[in-house]
Amino acid sequence: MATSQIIAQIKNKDWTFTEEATDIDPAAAPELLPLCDDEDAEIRELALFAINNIPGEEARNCIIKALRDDDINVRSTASRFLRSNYSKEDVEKLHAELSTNDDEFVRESVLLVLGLIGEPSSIKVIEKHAIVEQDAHAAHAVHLAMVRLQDDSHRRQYADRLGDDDPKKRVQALQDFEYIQDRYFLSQIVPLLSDENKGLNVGPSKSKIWLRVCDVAVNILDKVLNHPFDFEVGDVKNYTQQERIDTANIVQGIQP
Amino acid sequence: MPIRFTRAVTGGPVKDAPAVDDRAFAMGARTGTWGNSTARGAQVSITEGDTVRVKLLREDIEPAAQLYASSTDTSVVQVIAPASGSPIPNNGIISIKGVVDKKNTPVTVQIHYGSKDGPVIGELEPHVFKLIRLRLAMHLVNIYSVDTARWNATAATLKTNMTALVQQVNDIWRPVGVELRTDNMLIIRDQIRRNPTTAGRSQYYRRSSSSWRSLPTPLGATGNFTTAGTITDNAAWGNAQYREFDTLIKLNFISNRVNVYCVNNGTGWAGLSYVGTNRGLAIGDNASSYDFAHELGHYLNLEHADHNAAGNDADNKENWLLRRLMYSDWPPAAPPHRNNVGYGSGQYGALVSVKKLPGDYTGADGEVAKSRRRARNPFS
Repeated sequence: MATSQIIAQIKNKDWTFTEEATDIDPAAAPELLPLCDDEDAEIRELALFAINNIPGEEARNCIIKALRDDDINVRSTASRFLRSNYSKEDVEKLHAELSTNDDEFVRESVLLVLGLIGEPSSIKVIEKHAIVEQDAHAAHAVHLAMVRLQDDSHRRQYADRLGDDDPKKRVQALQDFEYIQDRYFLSQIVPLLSDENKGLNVGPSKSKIWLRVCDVAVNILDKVLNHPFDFEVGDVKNYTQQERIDTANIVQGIQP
Repeated sequence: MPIRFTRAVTGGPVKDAPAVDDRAFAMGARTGTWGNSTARGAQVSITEGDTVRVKLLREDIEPAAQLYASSTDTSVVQVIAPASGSPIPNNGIISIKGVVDKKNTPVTVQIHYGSKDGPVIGELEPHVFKLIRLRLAMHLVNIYSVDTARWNATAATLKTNMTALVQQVNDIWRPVGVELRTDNMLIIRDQIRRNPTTAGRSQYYRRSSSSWRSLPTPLGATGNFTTAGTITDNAAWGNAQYREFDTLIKLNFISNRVNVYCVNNGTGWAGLSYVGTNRGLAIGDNASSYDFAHELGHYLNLEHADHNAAGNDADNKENWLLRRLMYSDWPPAAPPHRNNVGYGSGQYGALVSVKKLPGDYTGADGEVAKSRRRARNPFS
């Protein structure tokens, strides 16, 4: 779709171009960026969908600026796009955002991105912020980011979560591994490949299709290790003992 | 207890007469940004800018006693009616406006006895929320020439009907500060046919290529839907019990929208949805607006209100549960005194719980905060 068409759709509040992945010519940035300041919140939000496809600092600045938009829907979209559109160059701006943005959902996204960027300077900033963070989800993002930032205390805490008494909490810790992605913890995940406790209901409403902790572990490892298994994986699959043994053998062969 | 608060109307949901969470005086665990409060009483949620009605019920106080309503912070919530200095009318209706969604600024509507400055004999804690607006794609599904009854070949009529249905859902969800948009709703006809050249297989009409294609997984290229007009689920299929549903909700899926698939019939269900994932949800022709709103609740990460700790729907017919939107199923033999919980005979309620009370299944209460968080980013 031509950029001129996309811009026309944005100005007409037509969401069609957001239905599929769209390539945007970076040269369109000068024409698109002013739409981030439009007085209409819906146009500002739509503009983010286009700008999210443009590489470069100007586009990222637009997304960061939108994190403190007056409109909750614009902030939500900016938070979502920030999680996949960030750069190490933005760290100081994100530090500032963390300490001054009063939207807990934005703070959660900023924390997760700081963890992904991995700049050591973020540790002290996040530590200071953690003292005042009131929102439970943002506080959890503090924990996840600090694990990635190699904070010893949080890493021990994460290891403890993998061994929690409650199978559902072990599952939650496994699910967090998709973000953490640190091979150091693989040796602690391997024992969970034998954990046959019910952990996660994956059926739709009314149903009870349960994955065991070990099934969740296989699925997470498949994603994080980029599909190394010879057997078929599936969202609702209960893996055989042999498949789990094969998984353990592969994982144990991976260096941390 | 001299007074308590309740919904301003009985019968079906009304947008400006939200359900009141009057379960206990305890306020429960407070979401981190709600601030601390000494108030004790009911809670109610309001979209910023909206004016809603609640009803004050006199339980153990003289009918002639003059009662007055006031707000502890008029920059956040205002009492619109009765006017300041005027007593609450005999019908008990109070109108309150959610002025602004403000963090850590708890506010209370207080009921004073005798005068506007009289002693406080009851409290209501309103929570004001900015409106989260979700874009919608309504899929009208035809399976082997059996359409959903919601289908209408006249585009204008179809749009009117779909808009009316969604607005009924919004009557339940707007007070939570979540709304499905009808102004830019996409309405799509999804068609499934039997493969004309290979028996035992189905195809669907793919919108983007304007052509018939093999089904996506899990049914896949060699699979088929069992029965015309129906999404069949069968426990004999084991973990693949919902393979037809899982396939349906991939058909012409529109990114960045809530995808709702309307079908003629679902095996033993009026609606179906996964909890807290960006996958489609389905409603059958027998689904009411409550059922649609209930499935939207699942989409927004809400479990059944009557879950027990093991995650099973418990055999619990307690009134407070029957009033909740996320109650799992109307009990088939509800005793007469539970037959009507304020929404009509044999109809469960539409309360999306504001409070998060101890003793409720972990994760199943505090539904307003939980669903709003998911609504901020439901498309990932």
